[in-house]
Amino acid sequence: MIDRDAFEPFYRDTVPRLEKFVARLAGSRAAAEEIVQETYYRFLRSKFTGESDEERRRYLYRIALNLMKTQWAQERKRIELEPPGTVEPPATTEVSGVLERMSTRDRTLLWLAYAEGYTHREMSEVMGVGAASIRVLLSRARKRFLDLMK
Amino acid sequence: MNDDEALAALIAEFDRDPGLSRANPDEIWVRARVDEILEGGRPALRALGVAQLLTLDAAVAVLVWMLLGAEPVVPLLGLALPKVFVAALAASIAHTAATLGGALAAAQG
Repeated sequence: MIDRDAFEPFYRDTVPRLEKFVARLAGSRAAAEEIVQETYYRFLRSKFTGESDEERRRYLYRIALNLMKTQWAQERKRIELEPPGTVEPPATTEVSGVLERMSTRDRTLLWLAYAEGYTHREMSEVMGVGAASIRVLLSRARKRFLDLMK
Repeated sequence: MNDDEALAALIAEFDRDPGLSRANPDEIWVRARVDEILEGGRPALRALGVAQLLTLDAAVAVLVWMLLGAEPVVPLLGLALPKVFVAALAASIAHTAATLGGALAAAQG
C-alpha cells in the first residue's frame, strides 16, 4: 500500500482529472462522487505494485472504469424493470450534448486519447482491449464525434 | 465547424471542471487501512474463538466428570448412563449454548 505521506500528493495531483473523466461517464453527480472516492479506496486496498505515478494513474482509470461498468450493468437491469418511457437526449451541436449521445466506450476512448494523450498501448492497458483494436475503435469514435458535430 | 475546431471544442469540454464534492484523502487512507487491519485480523479472531470454545468444552466435561463422583454409571431420566457419556453430553450442551450466544451477539452487532 502507498504510504500516507505519498498518498496525499498523489491524490491532489490525480483527482481533478479523474473527476472530469468519471463525471462525463457516471450518469449523475452523486454517482460520480461515489465512484471517485471508491476508486481511491480500491486503489489503496489493491496489491498494485506500480512504482511510477503514471502507472498508478492508469491503474486508477482501470479501477474507475470497472466500477462504472458495474454501475452501468445495475442501471441496465433497473431500466429493464421499469416501464418504457425513456426518451433519447435531444440532438444538439453543443459538445457535451454530442458526447451524451455517444456510447460510453466511445467517450472513454476520446477521453483517454484527447484529455490524457495516451498511446494506443496505454489505452489498451486501461480498457483491457488489444492495442490493434484500440486503433480501429478510436478512429471510429473520432469519426462519429466529428459527424455529430457537423 | 471543421474537424480541428470540433476537436478543440472536445478538449475544452473535457477540461471543464464538473465541480464535484471532494473527499478528504486522509479519510480515504484511514478507511482503507482500518479495513485492511480488520480483515487481516479476522482469521486470527476466528482461530481464537475456536480455541476458546474447545477449552470451554473440555472444562465443562472435566467439571461434570468430577461432580459425578467415582460411580462409572449415572442414573439419569430413568436410564443408567455411562459417566463419560453424561460428561460429553454436558460439554456438547455448553458448546451449543456458547455457539448460539456468539451468533446472537454477532447478529446484534
